[in-house]
Amino acid sequence: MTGNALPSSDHIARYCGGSQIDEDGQIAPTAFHLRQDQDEEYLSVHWLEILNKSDRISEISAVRDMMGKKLRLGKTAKIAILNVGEALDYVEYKSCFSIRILHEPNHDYLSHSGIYDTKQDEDLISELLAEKVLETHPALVHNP
Amino acid sequence: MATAALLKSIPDTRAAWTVFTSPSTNADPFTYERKRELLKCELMKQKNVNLSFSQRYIYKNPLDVNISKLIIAGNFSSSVDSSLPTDAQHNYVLDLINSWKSQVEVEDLISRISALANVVYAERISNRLLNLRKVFLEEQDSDISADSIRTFTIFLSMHPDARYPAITLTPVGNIYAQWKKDRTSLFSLQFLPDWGVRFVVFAPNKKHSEIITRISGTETVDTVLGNMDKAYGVSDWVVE
Repeated sequence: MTGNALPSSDHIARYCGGSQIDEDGQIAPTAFHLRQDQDEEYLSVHWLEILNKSDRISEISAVRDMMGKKLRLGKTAKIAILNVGEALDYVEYKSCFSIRILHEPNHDYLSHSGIYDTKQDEDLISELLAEKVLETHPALVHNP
Repeated sequence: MATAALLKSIPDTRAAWTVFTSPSTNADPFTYERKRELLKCELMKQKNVNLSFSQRYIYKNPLDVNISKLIIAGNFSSSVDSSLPTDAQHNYVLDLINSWKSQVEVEDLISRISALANVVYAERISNRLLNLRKVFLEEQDSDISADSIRTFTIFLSMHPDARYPAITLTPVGNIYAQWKKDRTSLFSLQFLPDWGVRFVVFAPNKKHSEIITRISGTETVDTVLGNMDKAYGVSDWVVE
């Protein structure tokens, strides 16, 4: 249901453009900046466990398909995975700001969700979120 | 009107124009000024004209660094119908400048970074920005903010011995530079128009090293490193 908090044990996937990845391949804090020019209210993510896939590879594959329909996936773009509870706790513990990760399903995507309240201190919170990236996957799969 | 975007941030531009004739060059230059810039166009009175355009920061730097060295210029050839009224010629020139700004300015600004002789990593930073720009244009159809590059250039000019930072772009095309020693020592700057920066500092508390101070805020590009160094010793990992 819209607006429900995601379970702490679950995971989210965030699209990170190639210009938001540093030369070592690490996800930069800028991947967690809102688009000021579009008045974004939250950072769009996908809730992986609700996809009901058997493993992470299948989840990422499904997320890639969804992202590909909405975004122009860059050659060097990546998908970053974060644990919901770890991200929320880490931001609150290190910055004293509470953020929320809420389910925001739409007609196209049941898994669509959002990281809310990063505007409280976007610069600081984005640095902390970038530190909690568990794993990354290429956004585009290059077929041989 | 094609010049709308250019004029938007420069109120009463037309009223500020100074038109005069220089007999020695047979030129009809006109200038306008805004808060920290001087933009000067020179329109040669010939059938096919050469048009030059320069942009110079005239802001007085409190640290007395010679910012007037930062000259941003464009040169292009075109033709202006001299039978047109002066006002129409000026509009045409502004259209040309606007076109130059959208097509060539960013690349020109980046190439000027590589020419900063004292900056240790000038060439590497310039190459990184060119690569980021290519990716950004592919993914978003928008460009790096020219104003952000200018502010970043001022920072590099004032701190030529800065270590090579991790450089990325914000979603609106601002440059974001991050200097990191480890998970406890971090200094990040987002470069904004008009000498503005947003900063983040993670640094061990000077008296209680097990406690990490984490702060963010806004500053000006000419004072941010000095102020953050005094408070948190960031030069330790930002400067060579």
